[in-house]
Amino acid sequence: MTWLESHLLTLVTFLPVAGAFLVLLLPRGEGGQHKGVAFLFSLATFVLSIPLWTGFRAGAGRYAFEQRTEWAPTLGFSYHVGLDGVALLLFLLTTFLGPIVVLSSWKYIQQRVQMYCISLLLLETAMLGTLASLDLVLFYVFWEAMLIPMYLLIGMWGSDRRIYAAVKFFLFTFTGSVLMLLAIFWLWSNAGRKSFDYVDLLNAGLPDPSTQKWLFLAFALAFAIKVPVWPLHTWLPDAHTEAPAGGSIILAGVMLKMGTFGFIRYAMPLFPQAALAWAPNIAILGVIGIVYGSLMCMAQTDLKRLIAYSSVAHLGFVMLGLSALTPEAVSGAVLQMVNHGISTGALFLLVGLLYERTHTRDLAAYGGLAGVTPAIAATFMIVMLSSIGLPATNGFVGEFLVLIGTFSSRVIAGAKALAVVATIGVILSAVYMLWMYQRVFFGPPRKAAGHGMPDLTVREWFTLVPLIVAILFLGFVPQPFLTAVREPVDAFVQRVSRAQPAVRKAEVER
Amino acid sequence: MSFDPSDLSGILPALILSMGALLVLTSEVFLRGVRPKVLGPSTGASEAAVRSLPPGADSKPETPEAQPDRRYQAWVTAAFAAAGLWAAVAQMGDPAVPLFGGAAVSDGFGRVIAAVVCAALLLSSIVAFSYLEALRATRGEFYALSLFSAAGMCLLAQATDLIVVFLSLEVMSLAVYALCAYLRRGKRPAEAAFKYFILGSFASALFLYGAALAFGATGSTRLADVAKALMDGAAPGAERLLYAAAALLTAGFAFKVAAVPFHMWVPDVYDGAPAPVTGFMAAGVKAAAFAVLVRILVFGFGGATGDLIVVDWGRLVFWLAALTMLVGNLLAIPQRSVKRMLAYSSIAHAGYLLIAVASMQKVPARPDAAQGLLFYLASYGVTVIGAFGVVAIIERRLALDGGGDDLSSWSGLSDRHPGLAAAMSLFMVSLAGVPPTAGFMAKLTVFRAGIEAGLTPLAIFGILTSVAGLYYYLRVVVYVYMYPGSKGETIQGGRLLSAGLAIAGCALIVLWMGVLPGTFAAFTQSAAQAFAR
Amino acid sequence: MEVSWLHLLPLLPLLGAVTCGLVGKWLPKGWLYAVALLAVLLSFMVGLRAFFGLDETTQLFHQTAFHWFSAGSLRVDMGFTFDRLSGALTLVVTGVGFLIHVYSVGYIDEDPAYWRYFAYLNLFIAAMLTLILGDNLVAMFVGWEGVGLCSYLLIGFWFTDEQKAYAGRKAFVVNRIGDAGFLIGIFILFTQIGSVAFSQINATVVPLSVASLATLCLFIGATGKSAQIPLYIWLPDAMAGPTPVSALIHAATMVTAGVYMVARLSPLYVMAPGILAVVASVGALTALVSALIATSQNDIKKVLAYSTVSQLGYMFIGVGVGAFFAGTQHLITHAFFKACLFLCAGAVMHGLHGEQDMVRMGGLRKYMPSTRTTFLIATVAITGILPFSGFFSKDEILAQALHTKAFSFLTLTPRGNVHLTWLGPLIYLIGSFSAFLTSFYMWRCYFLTFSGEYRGPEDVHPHESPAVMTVPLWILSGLAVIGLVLALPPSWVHGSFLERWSWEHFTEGVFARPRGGAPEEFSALPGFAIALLVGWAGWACSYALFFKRGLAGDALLSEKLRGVRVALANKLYVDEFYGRAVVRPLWALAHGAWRVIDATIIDGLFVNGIPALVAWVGAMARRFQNGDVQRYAAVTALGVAALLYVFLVRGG
Repeated sequence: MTWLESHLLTLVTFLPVAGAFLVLLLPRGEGGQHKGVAFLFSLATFVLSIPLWTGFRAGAGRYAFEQRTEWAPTLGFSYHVGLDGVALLLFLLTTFLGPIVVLSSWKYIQQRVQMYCISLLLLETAMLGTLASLDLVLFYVFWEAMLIPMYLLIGMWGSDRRIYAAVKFFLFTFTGSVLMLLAIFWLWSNAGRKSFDYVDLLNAGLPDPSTQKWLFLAFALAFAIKVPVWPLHTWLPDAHTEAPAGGSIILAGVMLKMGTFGFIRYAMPLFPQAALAWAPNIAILGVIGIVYGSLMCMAQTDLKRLIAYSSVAHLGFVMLGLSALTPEAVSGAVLQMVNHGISTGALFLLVGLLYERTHTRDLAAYGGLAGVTPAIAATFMIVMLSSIGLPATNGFVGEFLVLIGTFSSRVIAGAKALAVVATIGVILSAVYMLWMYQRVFFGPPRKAAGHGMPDLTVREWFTLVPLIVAILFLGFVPQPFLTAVREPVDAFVQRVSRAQPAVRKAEVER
Repeated sequence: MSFDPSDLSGILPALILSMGALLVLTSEVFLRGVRPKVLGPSTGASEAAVRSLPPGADSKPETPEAQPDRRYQAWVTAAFAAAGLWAAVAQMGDPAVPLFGGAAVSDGFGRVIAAVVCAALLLSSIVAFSYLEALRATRGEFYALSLFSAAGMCLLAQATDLIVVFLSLEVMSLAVYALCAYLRRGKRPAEAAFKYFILGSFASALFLYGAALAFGATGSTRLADVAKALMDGAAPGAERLLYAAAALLTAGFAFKVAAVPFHMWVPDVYDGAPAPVTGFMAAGVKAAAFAVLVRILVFGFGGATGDLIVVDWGRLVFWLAALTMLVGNLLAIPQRSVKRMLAYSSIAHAGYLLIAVASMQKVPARPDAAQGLLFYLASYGVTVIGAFGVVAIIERRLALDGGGDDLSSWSGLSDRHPGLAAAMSLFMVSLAGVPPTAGFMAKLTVFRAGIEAGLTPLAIFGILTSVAGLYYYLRVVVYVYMYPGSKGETIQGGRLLSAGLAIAGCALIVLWMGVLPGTFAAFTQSAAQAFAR
Repeated sequence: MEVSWLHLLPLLPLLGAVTCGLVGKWLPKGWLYAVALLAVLLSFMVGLRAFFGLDETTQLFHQTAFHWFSAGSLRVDMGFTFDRLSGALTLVVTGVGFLIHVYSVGYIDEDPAYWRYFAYLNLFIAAMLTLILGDNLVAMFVGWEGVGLCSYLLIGFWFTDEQKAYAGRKAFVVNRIGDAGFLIGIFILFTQIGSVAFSQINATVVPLSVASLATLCLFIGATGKSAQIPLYIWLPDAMAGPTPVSALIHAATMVTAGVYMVARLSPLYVMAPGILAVVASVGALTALVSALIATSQNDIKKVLAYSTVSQLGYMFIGVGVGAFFAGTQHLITHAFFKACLFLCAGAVMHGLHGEQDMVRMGGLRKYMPSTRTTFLIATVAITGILPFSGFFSKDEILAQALHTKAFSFLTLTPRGNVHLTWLGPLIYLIGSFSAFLTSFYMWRCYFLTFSGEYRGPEDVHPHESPAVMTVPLWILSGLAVIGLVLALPPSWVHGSFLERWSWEHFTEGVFARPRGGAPEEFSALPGFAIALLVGWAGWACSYALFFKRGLAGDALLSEKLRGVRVALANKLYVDEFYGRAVVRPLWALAHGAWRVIDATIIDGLFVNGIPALVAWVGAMARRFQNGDVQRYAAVTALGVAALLYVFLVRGG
């Protein structure tokens, strides 16, 4: 393994920090230079992350681009990073969205640009680190480091109720994760190895089922809030509604996926028996999320709020797939993470464009834009179709795999019923999305459409085209990605669904 | 008990600091009234400062003529503090040696505390310098007093004899009382110092009484003898005396570390005292007091080789910790004055530190707990000094027009002083224990020790209170970054420089400890060997 | 036989769509038309080439275009199968589709968004071909949803009109409901069989329960796409779209997808005779109800729409009684004459500046002769007063229903002894009565439109449409006549050159036989006689009512049976019923849940409530800290007392 190969991951992860430093050194003007630097660095991050995809070789149980060095031996944790297929996909998704986010904020962000760019870049590193880390403390550090920049993004550049939203976001997520921290400590002191290393802990003996339950719940709470799983979702609409477009894109595009990623990487494999015992409940919560989220969407009059709630529904599919514990469903769930990142990210991007032009998010003010801004209407249409999972868009494959995998699952009870209800949820997604689309783009032009609204500018085309290409590409050629995740997914399914007998015993004890 | 000069090397940091104090004091003799050249473009401000003395301040305005230039004292203090720090760090690796026939000890534990104290003094003296300069309150004694108190703290951390403990305790406390009252303007400082003095002497009395009882029971004031007496069973009836002694000694230092219910003095004193002094107190006094508490409980009553004492003081500290964390965080929430908020937060942090103390009662967890305690003290010290440094800069202006600080005066700070704003937010985040800051690593060490010691309920309770903590720390960030600036005027640049340096230093250390905690952890670990026996 | 060019069939129109969609706006009109029309024409050519490639040795062409995705044990390929059934339909889709493209050139020419229109139209052809040719359920589902999308886009083509946009949305959502059933059907089959490929599914024997469930779910999908009870409500509204679209999508091709799907899965369906009975009954019921409604509509397109629903009902009767060939052959003939009818209606509207209400038509035969003649031919074909294509294909279905054995061993209750032998004949009766209604309303439509005197406003001067529109009409009406060769009873054409054109003979071996076996030989003649009678009866009634009187006929009818007429004119209030029973409650539920659960309970009570509580307690406790030093000392003393208590009393 060459030096570059063993350090590439670290380089990519921390490149944005370098960018942040550079931005910090630049004069504190309101000129474009900060955005320029931020864009270049996020772009460079993306370009550098492409070799991660091309050179990705991961075998059973080992991680690609693994790097392990001393960090704080006296405190018992080390700097250990590496990628498996699942992490790789989300990693690429993050680097892919990075430049798009910067570009999308180009016009909208005019105050404290420097601060904004720094927050964006730091946030990117935090997210990449969360995905790459293989040491629980390292993971936790990145995990919580994500909060601060996001908090600033919402609180400093958001709209009217931004402070409430920002504090709610921070407190909500923080509350969830502190208990996970304690659970991590418990593992350190009781798993026998006195180690925070993920691989060690994975190979260490399992805690007894009753303890496992509590540890699992501690982890699950942290991740469930981030996903968010019903009924822990109420921070999401506020955060999304108040955040600036860029913030919403990151939030929806990547950050929510950290929760589901946590489930598939940590919560469920570390405590397989508890996970198996709880899988039905999680699946039920997922289905509730799908239906309930869709219903919420139907009740919204605020464009961003509506899309925020649609995230609740979409991630319900992911949770359902993860807890169905069949290869089809889990790989579908992973794919769905990426899909949601792309399509919902694109939705927020488009809503951002509309907001820049009309300065309102109220659906009642919109109407007839299809005649005024046909390009926006067309792109919005494609993105919307992918979000309701129409075949030949990325949305379909993920949803389909999740549903068919769940339906055919023999691991959790009542899988068929859950899958059927979830399938009905698919109908609702069409209901609210088309309703929203008609309110905004069809009918006679209303007041928001007035005063000759400009159509897509070149810069905006540059932000949208990659996303649309990704939507169609993933729709037609999803196989490479499914192949990349097959190995970790199978391992995951094996580990968790094999844990059956012990749990039976645990139930007897209880 | 014979005196061996070589023992002096064991208390080197304390010695250096006292030297510094003496030097500064004697130098006062040679001072003549010289007109200080006003730094920076701030003549207007300084005149305003002189003119706008609130009523109740001493009528005789300190006119520039009467003002000898004492800025050098700050630098001398800083230099000696640095020297003390160097001494402490230099000795870090050495084996533990009993001093003065067991009256004190020079071990890693004491050295780390000494290092923390010296660092605290170093940083806060620089902050104090610009603070006092700005207030034109540059009478003598300030630096001498702070040096003395620091010396007292270092000794406290090393004392293993209750008498020595008491002596150094008084050395420290008296100096700190005086420092609190140092700013004679307004009645709040005086009131604060008075309360501190009254209640402080109350606590000292309790401690002294406890020491007396211990002596009565064992015929010695050495902690080692106390432990010995406990182990092979003291004279019948003497045990009860010992337990009473334990109670009183604990009470005495529970007061110093500001554990509930001995915390009542904290808000008023922290609020009334000049910000740099408050920072120094919060960092130094806490460190020293915790050191003593640990020594008494672990070496004295813990039974250094096992839990032979019938009274499980671990339980006691357990409840103290829980109560302290609860009250501290709960009361910090409604505060609108950042200073008072920080006061309550320091109570809360005392609670977290008590978790470490409680876990020390379990032998296996002891080294981890000791490491956690020390690391936490260090990180908390540097963070809180930085925070109070920023408070000092904000407060200087307010002190001139006699008002206490209110959150509203922080709004929009990020527009006027991005640096200060960033630093303050960093400190707040660190106090809240969010990575990547020192506060997080500290939280990690302490709570991990708690879990290791099987104090899971306490840990859960504590971590949940820390969520409440996040709320009020974030509120500062909200005002600093998310509210538009209320008053446009900026703080005069010139004098910011030195304080700014100190604050930047704190910020850097906070980040450093948060991102690369290894080096600090190594120190604390070596120190913790003192408990691994 | 594996080939490598089948993918061209859907690909060409797809490319056409992409071209029109991306650059069409800037292309010169002529070029755009060329692209759009050539795309379809070429794939029609490919279709022909393939079609004549089929013979006794090569029963089908197959191509796996690419491996789409696979996970776990699921593997989904983009594969195409071109056999006699899908082949014939391919020709219909591309052929009729091409004619309609041509017609559209004249029809949509003035509209500024013509390029968008042709992009959608091409896209539709591509999707429809994917649906037909797909060799597995998922591939079919791709086309299934694709055509739904195109229909949505084209119904709402003039989006500035809320009503039209709403109609499109309604169509999509209702279809989505069906699609959910379709998906669940796929899941069931995959779980049982472990594959989604038709070849696998049709070759596997599955237990009755599974077969029934799967086929039922799939049939729900069919009711959505093919507008059967209970999901037919979207089709009449879909008439909001441009008329050629109604002809192509909502009459000739897309709406027949359900029938095709059932026929495609005939081996599976015959394993679930109960569901076959359901299919047939639903078909019969739909045929009857929609025919009834059609009699009282005044909007010419609405009449045709309900007529389409009714004809689809016939097709489901056909596949339902196990005579899959009959259902599919009616599918083809219907494609010809119904497309013709719609295009005629379009021509009429074109000549009357968009007028759709027959009240303001009449006497158009002298203004638009060729439109009138072609409409007449198509009407004859659908009403079956003369043995044109519709006559034969429909009567084949009815005859099969009468003689079917598919239900003879079914009982209503598991252990009942009453067998459903009567179901076939009952369906026959319903079907025949619907045939009478069909004849009645179609002729009413014809008379009100073309006979009598012109009733429209003065300023509208009816005129014949340009050749580019009338030529397709003539071709289609021609097909409506020649189509009869498909449907001729095999006994008639036995041995003659026509035999290889007979659909029943042509599709020999494509379909499965129902469990009851095929009905034994029966003479077609009596059936034809009855059918002719029925057809002429319908003609006679509406001639008596409308030929002379015109609109007065309606009035007369309304006096006789007012209530019925009003109810029918209002489509039996089905939309209103759904609105009250489903739509409004759903939205109410959404708003309620948001206000109560989200805003009040979760957020109000917990998320904001708990912090508020904590803050309140803090504020209360703060009062205690009043700066009074005695109090401080007292508290400290209490603390000491507590410590002493612990150490002395508890400990010692």
